[in-house]
Amino acid sequence: MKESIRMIAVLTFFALLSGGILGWFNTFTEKRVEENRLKELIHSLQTVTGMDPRTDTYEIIKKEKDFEVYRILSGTEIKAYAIVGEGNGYQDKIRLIFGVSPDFSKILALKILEEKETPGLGARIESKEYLSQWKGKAATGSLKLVKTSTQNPYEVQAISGATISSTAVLKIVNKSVLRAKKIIKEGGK
Amino acid sequence: MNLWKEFIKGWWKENPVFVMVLGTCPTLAVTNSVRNAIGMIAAVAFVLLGSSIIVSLIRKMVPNQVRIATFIVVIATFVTMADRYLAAYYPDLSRALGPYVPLIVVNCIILGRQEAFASKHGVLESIMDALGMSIGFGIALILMSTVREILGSGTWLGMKVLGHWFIPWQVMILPAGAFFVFGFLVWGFNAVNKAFKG
Repeated sequence: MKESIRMIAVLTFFALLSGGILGWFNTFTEKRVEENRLKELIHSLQTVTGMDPRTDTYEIIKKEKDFEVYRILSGTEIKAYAIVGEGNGYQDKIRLIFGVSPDFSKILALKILEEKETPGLGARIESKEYLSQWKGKAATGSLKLVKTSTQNPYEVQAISGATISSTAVLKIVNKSVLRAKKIIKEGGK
Repeated sequence: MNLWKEFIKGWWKENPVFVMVLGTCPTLAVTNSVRNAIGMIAAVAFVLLGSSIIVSLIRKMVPNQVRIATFIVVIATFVTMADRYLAAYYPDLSRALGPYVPLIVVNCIILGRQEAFASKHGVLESIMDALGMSIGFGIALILMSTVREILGSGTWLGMKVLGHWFIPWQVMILPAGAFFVFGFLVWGFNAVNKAFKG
């Protein structure tokens, strides 16, 4: 009996001590982690919409786990929208962000936030050659994948050897464009 | 003299990764670049040193039946601190290492050293043992990641070491490459150990 009380006491003591130390430690790191997240978001917005953090502001229109919409404002004028989308890739989730012109006519730029595709094949969705072609594509939600080089704004060229990853990116963009369009039509101006 | 022996045994003769074959999960998973390996080594060394000191200090007051549970609580506390610290100050590294930092909790090198050493020895010996084992773990990860990064990406710590003529062996940065390098290094370590014993 005595022994079991001692066991409980010792374990409880260490668990409480551990919780206390971690709670105290978290007060230092939590703020930094939040700051890092914000810095990263602003950097991404800059890349995909050309937002100038000194003069432009952004507001959150929608924020869900797998979907976010931001409105970039230059004064009161809408400069662009930025959309974060997520979907299944070849191995794990692909998370990306892209900028769209205010009238939803074209895509400004695309950036991959997270991917775990195969190095050398699917991971080439992060390469400049692939990403640069997204500039100026139609933001209609009806983009198609083609195998050959294309200038058509309704078509995107797939990466050879990485059809699944290319299709995944395309699907995420199409789906997110339609979803964002609907939200902005209903809620935002 | 005895302390020195505790310190250097982990480097080679009792190398935790290649001779005792513990902690192979991070060894295989995060050695695709030297930078990731260094982050992992720092995190493991911090956790190992911290938990060895605490476990060695409390070894007499912990009842035998709950010792493993208590050790795990101590280890998990240090791991969580390391994880939060990396997320706050080295966000890129934290993202690259992903779940492998929290997984240090179940790294057998750490629990193994508490059970086999720190819970039976004084603080000073435990510190020496933890430092030595961390160095052994470090040697293993640096060797693995050096081979894999040079052959798999043509770089070392991000610096280009092989010219344009070199076509990276993609397989080396994939999981299969980790097993190839690991197999060769285990063979090498044990062959040398055997040769010196005889």
